[in-house]
Amino acid sequence: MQQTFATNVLKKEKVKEEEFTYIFEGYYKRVYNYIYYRVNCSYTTEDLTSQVFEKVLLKIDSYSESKAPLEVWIITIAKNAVNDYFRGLKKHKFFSLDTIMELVGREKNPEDILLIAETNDNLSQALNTLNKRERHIVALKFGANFKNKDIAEMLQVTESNVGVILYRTMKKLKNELEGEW
Amino acid sequence: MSIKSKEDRFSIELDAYFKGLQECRTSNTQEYNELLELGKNLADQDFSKNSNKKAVLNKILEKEKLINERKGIMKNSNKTKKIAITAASFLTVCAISTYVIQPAYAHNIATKIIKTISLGHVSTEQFKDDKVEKIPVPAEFKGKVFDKDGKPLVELSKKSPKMYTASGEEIICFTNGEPVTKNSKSANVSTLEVKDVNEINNHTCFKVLLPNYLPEGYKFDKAIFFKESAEDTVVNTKYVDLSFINEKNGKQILIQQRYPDETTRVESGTDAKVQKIKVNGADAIFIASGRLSWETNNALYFLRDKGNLDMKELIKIAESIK
Repeated sequence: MQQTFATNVLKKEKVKEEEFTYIFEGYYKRVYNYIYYRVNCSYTTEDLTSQVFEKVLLKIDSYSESKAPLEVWIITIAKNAVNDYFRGLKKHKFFSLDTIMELVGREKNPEDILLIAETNDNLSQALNTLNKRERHIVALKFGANFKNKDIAEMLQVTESNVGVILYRTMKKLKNELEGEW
Repeated sequence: MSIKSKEDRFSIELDAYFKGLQECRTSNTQEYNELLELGKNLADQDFSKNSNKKAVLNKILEKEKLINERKGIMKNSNKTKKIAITAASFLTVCAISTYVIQPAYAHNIATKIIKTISLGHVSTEQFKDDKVEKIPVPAEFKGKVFDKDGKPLVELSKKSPKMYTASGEEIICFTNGEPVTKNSKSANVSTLEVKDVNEINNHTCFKVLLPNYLPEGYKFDKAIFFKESAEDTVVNTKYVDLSFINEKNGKQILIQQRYPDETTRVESGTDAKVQKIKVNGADAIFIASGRLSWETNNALYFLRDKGNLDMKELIKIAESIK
């Protein structure tokens, strides 16, 4: 009896793990890029991405398709993780050296890091000139590849409003990047 | 199709681009085309390609496994696994009163990890205690813990972290997610106590070593093994707790030893100060709340002092185990 129970649990978990790996593979890029557009730091992004998928794994059983499409559900988790992160930053602007060392250890090599830092510098400066909502829309559009309809729902504005803000934001970004892109 | 504004067209073309569709070129202003180019550029940016995707996935799956084990879900029929869960509660859940809790849970209440020290199989995270006076009751205990007056507990106070069952019995620890009280059957049935030092090694799959040095007044009290069932005689186990008692004041030192392998790994979190020190030349973790962990090729060692011995004494005891 015990044996069958254990085997069943094992099987169920195996299936869950496979399902999760599938979701992870499918959404990693979008979650990562969405977060990156908002926080602009690869260490933080990796950390937050990991938190998001931990939550996905934890809550996947309670996800219901009738409530929201999977991508919206996942990006909402990501949105909350980033918001929590920003809230936390306000409280303590302090990052331990140990944590940084640990993260650096996982990176590829110093040249890689330098290269990424340089190419992203111009874009990150341009992103910094955007206000909170504009930046969030850029992240949802180009990071998460969301449709305006989904963005509208998430940000509680109308769909056509999203289109207008997006277009205006692109103009702003282009002006900032002019000659540097 | 009705005539759309340029903003709408812009979004529609972008969405088409995400899907890999070629948009049908209509006459657009130069500005529009430039913005669309920029949009495509942004859409093509993949910051994640420089990240360590595999490591992230593995970390999540590892953590999930750990949480499941602590929840007491049996992953296979291997006997030692279940014992692992029971034994793990000695260091984690049971120890809530000393505020050593699972890192995953710690992350939820205190987001800031100040320090992480990792040995081969043992790692400890120190998180900042931002004047956290109360911690929410972990999800797996919800509905199982009450205060003295029988009201369900939602939060644990750090100062008096006592928990009671619905019938008012004090909970001493959790085993497989279930509360254990002094009177619980499982509190007595689940352990095998061995008083004879020479018998200890008959039960384990590794060589259990006793300290040659003990501070004044302390004597070997007993070895404690976790039993799978009432009939279990405990053979080849990977875990043992050794208890040493000071006859004068009743204070206790516990030393847990584990056979080092993948199933016996320990991760813990604490808000007490954590330092990396040496025990017989090897790295060790010292936690200011009176805990010392280190490992050798032979075993993982966790020393926990319930008296108030200083670090030097604890190291002295640790170094005499060889």
